[in-house]
Amino acid sequence: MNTTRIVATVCALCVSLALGCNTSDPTSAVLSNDYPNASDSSPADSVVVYKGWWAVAQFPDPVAPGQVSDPVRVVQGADYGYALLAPGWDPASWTAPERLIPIRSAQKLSVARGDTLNFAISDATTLGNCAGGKPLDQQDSDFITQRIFPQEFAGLDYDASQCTVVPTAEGAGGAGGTPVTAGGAPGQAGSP
Amino acid sequence: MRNPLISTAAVGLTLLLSRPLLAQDPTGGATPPAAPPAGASAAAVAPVLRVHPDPVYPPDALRERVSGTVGLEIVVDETGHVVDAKVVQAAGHGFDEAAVAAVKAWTFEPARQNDAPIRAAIQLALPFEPPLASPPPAQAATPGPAAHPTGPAPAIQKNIETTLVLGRKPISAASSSAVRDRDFALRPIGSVQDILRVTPGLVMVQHSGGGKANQYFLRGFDADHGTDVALSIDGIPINMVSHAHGQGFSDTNFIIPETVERVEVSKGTYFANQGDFATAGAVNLVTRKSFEHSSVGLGFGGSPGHGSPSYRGLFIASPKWDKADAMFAAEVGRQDGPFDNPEGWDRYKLFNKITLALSPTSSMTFGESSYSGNWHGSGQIPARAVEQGLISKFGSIDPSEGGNTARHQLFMGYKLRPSENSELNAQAYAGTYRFNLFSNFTLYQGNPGAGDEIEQVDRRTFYGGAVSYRVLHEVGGIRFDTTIGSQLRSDDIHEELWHAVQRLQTDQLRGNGVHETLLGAYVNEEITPAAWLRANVGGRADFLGFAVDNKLATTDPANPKSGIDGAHQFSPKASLAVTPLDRKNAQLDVYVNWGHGFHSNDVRGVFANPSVTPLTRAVGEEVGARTRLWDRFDFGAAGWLLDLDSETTWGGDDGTTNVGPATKRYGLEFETRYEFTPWLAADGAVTFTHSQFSTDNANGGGLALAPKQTWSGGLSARRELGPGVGRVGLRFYGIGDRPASDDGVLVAPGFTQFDAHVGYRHRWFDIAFDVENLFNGGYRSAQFDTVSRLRGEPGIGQSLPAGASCGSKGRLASNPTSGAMDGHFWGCEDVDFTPAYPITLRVMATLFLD
Repeated sequence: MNTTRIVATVCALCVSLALGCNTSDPTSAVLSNDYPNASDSSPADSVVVYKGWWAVAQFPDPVAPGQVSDPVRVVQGADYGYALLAPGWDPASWTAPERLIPIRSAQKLSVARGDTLNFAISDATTLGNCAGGKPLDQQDSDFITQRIFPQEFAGLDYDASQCTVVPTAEGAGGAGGTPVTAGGAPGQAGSP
Repeated sequence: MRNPLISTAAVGLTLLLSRPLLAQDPTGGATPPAAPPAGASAAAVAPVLRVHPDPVYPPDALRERVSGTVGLEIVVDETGHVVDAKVVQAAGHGFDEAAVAAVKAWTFEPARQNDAPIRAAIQLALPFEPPLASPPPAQAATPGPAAHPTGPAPAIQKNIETTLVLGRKPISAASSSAVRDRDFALRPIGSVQDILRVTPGLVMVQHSGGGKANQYFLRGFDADHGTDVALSIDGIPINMVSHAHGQGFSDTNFIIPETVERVEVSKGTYFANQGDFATAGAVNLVTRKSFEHSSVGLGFGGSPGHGSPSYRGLFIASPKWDKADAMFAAEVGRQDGPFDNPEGWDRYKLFNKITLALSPTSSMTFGESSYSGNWHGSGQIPARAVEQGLISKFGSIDPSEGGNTARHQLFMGYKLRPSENSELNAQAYAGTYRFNLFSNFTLYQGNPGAGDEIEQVDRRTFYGGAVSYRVLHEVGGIRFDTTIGSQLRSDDIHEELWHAVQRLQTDQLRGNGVHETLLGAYVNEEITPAAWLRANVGGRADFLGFAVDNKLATTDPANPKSGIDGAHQFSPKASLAVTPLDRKNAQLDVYVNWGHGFHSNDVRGVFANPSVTPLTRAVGEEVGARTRLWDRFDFGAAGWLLDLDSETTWGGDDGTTNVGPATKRYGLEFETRYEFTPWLAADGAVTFTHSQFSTDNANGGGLALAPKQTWSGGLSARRELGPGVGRVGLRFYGIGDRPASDDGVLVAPGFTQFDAHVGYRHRWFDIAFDVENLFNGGYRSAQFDTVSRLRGEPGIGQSLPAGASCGSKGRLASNPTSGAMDGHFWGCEDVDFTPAYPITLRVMATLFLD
């Protein structure tokens, strides 16, 4: 076996593999809470982002004012971003927020393959926070409360003009069957 | 030019190992009998080889480094001359002609009976192996084109293939075959799945990320990941019993494709040595003992306009030792695929194997293989999500899907010929396996906030072995080929099922320890009363013992309880092969096969409610024929039927048992091959299958996802070109439309994919260029009927808003409790799919180091 040939070939292989390693970076998204820090205002005015959603990405953890969420993998696309604001709520507390305000990004947000989308949340970039003077219309807020975050608004009717909720008249869920709960999805044929 | 590559020692040993058949021609006529008549005398003495000029190695085969073994039946007259020689097991590539030409020049000490010379027929196997040693110094000093066209110098062959020479032909079924590497080298080969596609009627599709096992379709089975197809490598099972993701899960990604020498295919339930999962069929991948050259290879590929290039590096060392064949192979690779969510499929593989020649009649093999891989999956996306523009067809609804896996195993084998007519094989293996898979099939149906992602966890050690003894003997002129054997497999499994959010476990749904041992014993008797008639009777008994330890306190009745149980099954088999036509330019074999078989079920389901049976019986029947005309046209046809006691599977995706009723399948299969010239051939295969539940649920017994038609074929050419050999292959394969739902309303569209391969092999390098999906077909690969909810769709149980729909191909799901459409939203039933790769280019360059 020709040693020179082997060494040269292995070196070429290593260089090529190193070049080949430079493959795609995943597309990702972060949610940034651009409301003022709690230290800069009274705690009651602190606006925490309770949950967020964009296209195929969910931001399940609360994001305090001035903070940015961990990045999550997404795919390229353009869509509105949705979130729930929890004014005056302390994320460190063990209680659920007493009040949630559904909001939507003012514009569709887009991200190209390999880039990072920043879903920035403030009164300037979103619609829906009555305190900011930009309420959503009722149809848009219904979409958020019934389609995007239905669990948080189960049994409640949300008034977009006032940013308030009242118990729904007919109760949570639909009639005529047992609503499917987490983990209780009906079985699928086979195991894809 | 003659290349006496077959050494004296090699031929002598081969004859020693062949089984002589003595026969006297009472007529003494000038024309020897086509086959030895029955009634050989016990006092007869076999012919003894005296002069044996070596065959000429076919130049093309030598240049291409292909090997082969020709099975011959020759008649030696009373003077010791070979007066007739015919090929009974063809190897192609010019080997057959070379072997016949050589043995006709051989002379023997004639066979004798009562000291009188007699005419006799003997069978032998003549192996052709390219030289293992380097070229002679004169050529080695001037590598490259100067070394050709004569190729490397002759070399002494060290290790002779010691497979027993069978009767006239091995009894089989019309649908069974073996394909060697020289055939699948003419196809685009990027993974071992591409090799498995040589199996006529077996269609595989990529599924939810490259690191996950493929989807297999065979004989009317959507075999999911392998429930009804037994896959093995060198006899070691690949299917995983009671797997967290699905029964019989068969991930072949741990195999380095270049190490595979041939593929053995047997369809149906007719083979006594085939046990668990061999209902639709069995595929065994046989690895090489060694390579002709050590080599390094580097491959790049990708889909233009989609993602980034993939790469693959391969290193093979095959040292030349006196009394051993050895190979050490390593592969690394990364692949992103065409997906918007890059797969990032990193994989690392090792395969090492040493075969020691202990004596001329025994050998021992030691080996190891390792694999580790991780990836991101794009899941199975609902067709409506693409239709609505929510994502592209290469998009993802839950980009956190994916997983990681590893498989490490050790194996050893022992082979002994106690006598010239018998053979003993023994094998043992042990390994560890790890699997974590994050999937989200129902999306936001169960948990509208965080999603329905689940994690399936499987940790196991597995070990087992097999032993078989085979002996050929003759009683009253009737030849018997007896095989007895036993197989043992044991798995210690720990598996879990979790809800997860972006790969973080939230709540546990299942947690089980499982111990499962399957012991099988079989006997097979092949009887040949005449050259034109062979019969096969046999059977196997299998005993399954298992214990399940439920580690999770839950009141869910579907959750398996703890328990110990067992099951057994006896599976009789019988076959008949008749050869009504056996002439030089026309041979015809007709086969009739019958047999029982089984697949095991996930034993956790035995202790769940409703429970499943541990073993599901399958009964198969088949009638078929194979013919070869003009030494260049092969055609095979088979009609088959398979009854399965129940379509019972463990639904690993949701952690419940699915108990289905009995099913019946029947179909027709046709395959053909035609050699236009020695370097150009065409082949094709087509299957038609009807599958149904035995019980008609007012829908004709409709059985979802069962393939109805498959097809494959192509043109392949291989020819000397300058100092090397060029090769071209144009292939296609496809599957017809099939019902996605039992009622046939939802349809999984079929597809046909075309692939092309161009390669060139030189003494010092090989370069291959592949094009997959040549015409850039935008079809779907894996497809499933799934009820799911997209994030923006109405909440589960909410009143249906006006105009609510599930896309043009989907439909609103009914209430899961009442089964009725009640004006509320219960999800969308849609065909979820993984897209086929678009046109994909790949180049692989290999440099030979010795």
